[in-house]
Amino acid sequence: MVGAAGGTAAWISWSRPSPDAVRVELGGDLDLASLRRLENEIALLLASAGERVEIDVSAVVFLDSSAIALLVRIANHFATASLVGASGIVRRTIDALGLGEHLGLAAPPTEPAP
Amino acid sequence: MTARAPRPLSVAVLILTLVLTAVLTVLTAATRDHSTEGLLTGQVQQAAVTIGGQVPTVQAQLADAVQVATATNAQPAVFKRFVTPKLSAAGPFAAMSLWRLGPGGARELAHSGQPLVLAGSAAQHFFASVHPSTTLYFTNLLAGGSRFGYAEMPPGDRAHLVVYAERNVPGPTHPVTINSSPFSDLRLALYFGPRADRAALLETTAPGPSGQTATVTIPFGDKALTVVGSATDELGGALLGALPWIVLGVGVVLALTSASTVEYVMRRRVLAEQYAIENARLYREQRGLVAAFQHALLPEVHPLAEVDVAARYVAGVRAVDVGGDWYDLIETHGGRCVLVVGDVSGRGLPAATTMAALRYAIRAYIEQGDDIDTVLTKIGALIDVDRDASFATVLIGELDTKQRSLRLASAGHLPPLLVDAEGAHFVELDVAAPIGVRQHRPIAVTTIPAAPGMTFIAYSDGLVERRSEVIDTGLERLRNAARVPGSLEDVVDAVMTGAREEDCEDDTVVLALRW
Repeated sequence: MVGAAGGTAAWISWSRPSPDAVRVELGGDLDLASLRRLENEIALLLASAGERVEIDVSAVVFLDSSAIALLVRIANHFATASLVGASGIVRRTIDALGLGEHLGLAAPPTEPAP
Repeated sequence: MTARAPRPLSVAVLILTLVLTAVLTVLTAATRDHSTEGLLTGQVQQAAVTIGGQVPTVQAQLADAVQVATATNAQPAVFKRFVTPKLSAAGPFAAMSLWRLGPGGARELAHSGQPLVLAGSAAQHFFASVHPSTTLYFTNLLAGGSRFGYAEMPPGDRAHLVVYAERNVPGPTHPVTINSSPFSDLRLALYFGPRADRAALLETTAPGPSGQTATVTIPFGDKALTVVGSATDELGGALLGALPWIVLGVGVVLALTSASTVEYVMRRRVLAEQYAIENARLYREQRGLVAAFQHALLPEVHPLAEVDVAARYVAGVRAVDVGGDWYDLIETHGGRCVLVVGDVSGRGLPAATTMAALRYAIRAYIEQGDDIDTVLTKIGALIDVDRDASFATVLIGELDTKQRSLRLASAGHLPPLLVDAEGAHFVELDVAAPIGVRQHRPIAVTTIPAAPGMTFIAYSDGLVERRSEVIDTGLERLRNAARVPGSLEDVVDAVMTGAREEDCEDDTVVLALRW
């Protein structure tokens, strides 16, 4: 998967709801180019301490293999990870890659998705 | 920049600007001259009027003398007593005389001061023209221009008495300064008569007028006085005087600056165009190199004993960077073969070198006799997502035509398609995590029966993925595209056109087998 230019601007932000937990939010078009621009923020996140990480991808419009690699790296940095807010496209992409367990992808909701 | 002849356009700009400058300079100079000329004429006129204003004064004094003479019945002694105090060699009255006009001519009655120059027939001729009037009568210049005379005969003079005076002309050898202050910055020359005749020069300042002059002629008694004047300073001020030079200077600077700018810009443009052409050439060259490189990396597909093989590699639409997709087919002993399709994330040299490393490691492990799940486990050590920021999806399978079995294992890779008489369906596989990501469970191997007449299609995600689409849509599209009759090559062609997005940016790899 290779991203194209344009579209929604990529962003990343995180907070610390408790001393050993980190909550990361990602949004926009996540591809090789846009992730290069977020290099500094990503480096800071991957240097921070914590036991658990919750990654919220509900605002993500598009993600390519570099973005998937980023999600894995974030999950690798903490002892446990959970991925929330995955839309149909994001969920199915992660499932097809066999990364559901590694990223702590939550089980799909019981009611049918829109 | 190397020294080369300037371009025609910059030369044209230079010439045009210089021409414009020349025109403006000339216009400015002409305007300046015209305005100073007007100013000068005005000043000289005023000077002339001031000088001409002396006439009534002289007239009045002469008229008084006539009155005295008339009242005393032209007694010479009385006349002399009256006029002598007014006489002075340098003043307006160097000599004064009383005359009576009669039918026989003019007769001198009294005289005081220097001897009169006007005499004889010239005097008779002059007095013949004198009549009672308000005008002061002037003679022409007398005695070679050193003396002139004037006569006053008041209106209503029934005694026919005329007072005639003569004045010395200082001449050019005795220049005088006109002290009246409004004209102290003018250089003037006064001429008797209607023209600035050298012979008729009355008075001049020291030095006389030069350069730009104005000439004014005013009535002077019954004759005329011509005043010629020039200014000692710039009448319009120093700035106005210098303006043409300023315009010329600025214009030349502007001409040189604009011509240089045009030249510079044009050279840069030529340079930019040359770079653009060179860049286009380099780009084409690199595309060619990339295609050659990838072609060299991917193996020729040899037909196997009982298996049809078809393979495709199509680069993504940009194709400037090397990609990380590959396929491989390895014949092992006992009529078995191992098939591999892989996709390293990212682009460029890192992806290509990782791909090469994985491909050859897999070959080596297969050569050593490792089973397919062992191979996948072992190659996990070659790539690490934390260290390399990339991972690889790999599908590996072992086909045993004798046993009619196909064993498959997938590390993050999309399921292959099986097409038979009943239709097409994807193989259900337990997908392990991609290579480079820690595995949570041992890698599973799925065994399916390989009935004859089956077509097996393995591919990379470029075949089925489209932006803003769930992956399942693309998989379904592939499934429908594969259900075509014909040779294996026909099926692969159908799949490439039917499933793959036009202008797909991702590389695509297809490996198909039919047994």
